[in-house]
Amino acid sequence: MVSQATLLTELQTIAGAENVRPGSDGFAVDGVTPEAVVRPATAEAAAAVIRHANAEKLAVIPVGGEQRAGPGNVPARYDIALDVSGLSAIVDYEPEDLTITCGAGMTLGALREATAAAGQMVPFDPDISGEATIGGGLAADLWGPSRLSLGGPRDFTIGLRVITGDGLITRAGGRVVKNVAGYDLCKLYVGSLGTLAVITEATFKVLPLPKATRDLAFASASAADACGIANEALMRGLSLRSAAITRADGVWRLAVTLAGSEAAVERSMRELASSAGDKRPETGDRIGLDEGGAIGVRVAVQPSALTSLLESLAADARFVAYPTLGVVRLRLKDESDLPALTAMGGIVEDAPPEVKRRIDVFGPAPSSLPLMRAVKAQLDPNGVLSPGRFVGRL
Amino acid sequence: MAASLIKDLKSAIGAKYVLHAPEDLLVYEYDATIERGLPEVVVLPETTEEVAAAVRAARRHGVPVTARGSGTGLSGGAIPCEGGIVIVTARMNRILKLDAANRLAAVQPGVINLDISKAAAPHGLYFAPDPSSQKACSIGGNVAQNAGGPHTLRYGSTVNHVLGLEIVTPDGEIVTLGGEALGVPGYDLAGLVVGSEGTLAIVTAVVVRLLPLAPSTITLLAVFDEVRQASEAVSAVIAAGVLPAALEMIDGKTMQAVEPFVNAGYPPDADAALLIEVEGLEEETSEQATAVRATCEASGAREIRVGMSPEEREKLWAGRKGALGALGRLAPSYYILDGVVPRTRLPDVLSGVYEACERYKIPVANVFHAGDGNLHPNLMFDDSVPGESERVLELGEEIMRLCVDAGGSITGEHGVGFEKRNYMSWIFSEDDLAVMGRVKSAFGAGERFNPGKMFPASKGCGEVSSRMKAAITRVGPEAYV
Repeated sequence: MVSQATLLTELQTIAGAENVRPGSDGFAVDGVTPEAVVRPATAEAAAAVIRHANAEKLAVIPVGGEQRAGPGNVPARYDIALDVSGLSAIVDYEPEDLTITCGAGMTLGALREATAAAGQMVPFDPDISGEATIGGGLAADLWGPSRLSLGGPRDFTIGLRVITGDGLITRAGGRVVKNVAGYDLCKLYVGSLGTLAVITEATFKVLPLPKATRDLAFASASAADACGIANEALMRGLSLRSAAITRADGVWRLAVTLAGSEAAVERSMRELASSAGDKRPETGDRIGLDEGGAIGVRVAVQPSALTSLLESLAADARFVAYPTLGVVRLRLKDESDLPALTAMGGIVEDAPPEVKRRIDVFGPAPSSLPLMRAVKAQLDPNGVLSPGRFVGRL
Repeated sequence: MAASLIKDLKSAIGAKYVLHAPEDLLVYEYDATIERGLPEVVVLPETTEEVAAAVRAARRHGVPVTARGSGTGLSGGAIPCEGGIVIVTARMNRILKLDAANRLAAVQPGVINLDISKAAAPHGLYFAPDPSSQKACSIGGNVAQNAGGPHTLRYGSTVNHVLGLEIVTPDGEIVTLGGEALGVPGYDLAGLVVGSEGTLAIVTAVVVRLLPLAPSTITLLAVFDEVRQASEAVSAVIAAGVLPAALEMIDGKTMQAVEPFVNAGYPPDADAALLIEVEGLEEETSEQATAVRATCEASGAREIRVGMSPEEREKLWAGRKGALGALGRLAPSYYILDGVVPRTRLPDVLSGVYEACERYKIPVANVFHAGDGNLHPNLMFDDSVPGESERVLELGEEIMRLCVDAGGSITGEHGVGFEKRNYMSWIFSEDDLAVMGRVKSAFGAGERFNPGKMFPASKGCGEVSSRMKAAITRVGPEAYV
């Protein structure tokens, strides 16, 4: 390992002096602070940084600006923060093609604004700040409530430009909505948490914005009622964009977003109100998961098993559940419930570094781990990219 | 073929299900493409364990394995172009589980696509991917090729409906990828294997997502005097903020071919028609149908028919669904192309297709997924005329070039297979292809699974095609029956 001063000098030569800074706590990942932060102006410069790291066996974590608590295990090593926030331009947007191509450093908020201006949207709505970048959202496969009706990042991402662990700039997929040429490596890169490649550019399918949307919340007598109403609404084809269940002061609440034509939304509202026995639903913002505790956990079960899972939660548990997807996201104050939740397949979405150091946030690795390890070895042969952060400490 | 391999296979799968007599092999040398390749032995396993045993036997004996579903593929994916073992999934045709409450089904790979929807229908559910061959094609083949269909526009391709897979690796190991619940941790290897054309793994079970049947569906047929008007209307509908469930184009040549057989009521003198389907609550579909009608009229549609009842809708679809069969009657052979362009480039590329076919004097009929920009020119020819097949392949290549030059892709739903592997370098760089090759290495696939497919031909592939030609000569014309 060279000294920090030498590393900074080398990186300045590669990426330009103005784009290189000493590492700082703002770029720390799970308590590990990098030696250097590079914010390259081009994908080519980013690739040159990775090639350097590959040659010197340095560890690189791609980031989209300063860090917040997030997914992944504590990195085994972390020398260089590769900040892709400079790659934030719209590369191509033809609304009638229903596709958009943009830099990975573009924020979700900027993507929302750009598409809304053309009456369109990308259904990329994780429950996080609009300042988060596309690249980060894709790396973590973050999805939001609209996954129910519109799919997740692996469904709407149709093309990626990435840099492998040995510094090759390569493309996967393309810019057309339907494409089966070659392996769909987009599927691999999305959700790989920066361990296979660094995403520099993404192409998404876009959709027309709905003519009308309405956020409503119904009081429910039980978890079973709330789950039942949501699943029935889905089966009846009501204009359900998303559905979420919470509980506050012992009262179950089903919050839905309806989207579609004005008349279809009106009818959906009437029918939901009637099946919920709640003629005057509250209107309000879409619900999110408030800060109830330091540890975020996500448990995915079958939708039919969700009711009993929700009923088993402590009375003061803070959570939001997606009844048609069979997923519950919880915020825990401490680690006491972690073993039980991870035994059900729960994944720690974020936690303080001292907690993360004691656990594997992904729980037991699936039986396909040897294949995953082989894929990692092929795309990042020297273990340069985000070492130790992924499933099975890949 | 080594007698010891046959013996191994017979002891693993049962003598009855191991075919190696030349006359038994002939039916497995072709699919729906114009390519041919004869396997050395065909096995019909019933269980995952039998598939794994066959793969391990192939490995011990150093012969390649090609998986085959119903043989309806359109890119040569099921053709064993280097011989070896063909694993036919026809006997693995059980629906293992239909979980209506959780809207999913687990099926064996030989289950026919449409049978999933039939089984799900009593529960108000269906399997969305609907390739035109859905009455015959298998889900295993759909997974291998990431099959699409008319309703991909709104619901996506097969990959968007697969939750998990059970696979046999090239080493003969059985591995589960993904699962029934969302968010199984790790790389999305199930998503990767879908569309890998049998080169990474043999799929032995599939967990698919089922969707609720739409409460209301309206189908519209908009008739145009000119192809260009119709292709411009495609983007106009999207620009009007409507995302139809399906948006198909049928050109004049196709309508003339179809009408005598199907009696769909297509006008004999129109140049093109759009078949547009909207789904949702009645309030939604009636509003969208109104918008579609207005948009098509503004684009110059001379007539618009609306199908509301299932019977009316079926009649409008009959011409689309019967198109390939009817076109097959116009010429001894036809070659179906599959290319994709950005939707806004459709009018220009379609003009280019007609111009190229005119230049080659090869009749063409276009019937395709216009909403996705997914072209299917059908080239009609007589393969008994010397040199004709070669000319048709040359024309096909030129049309593929048009798609790629417009920023599109060489295949939207049929796959690369044998046919288009040399076009891969038109849309992917050497590095892009090298990374795909590395992923293949990660699976330990080498050339053991479906060799000669997807990747550009390296040295020695000339041998493959001469061997295939030799096979055609050897077996004679009865192979085409």
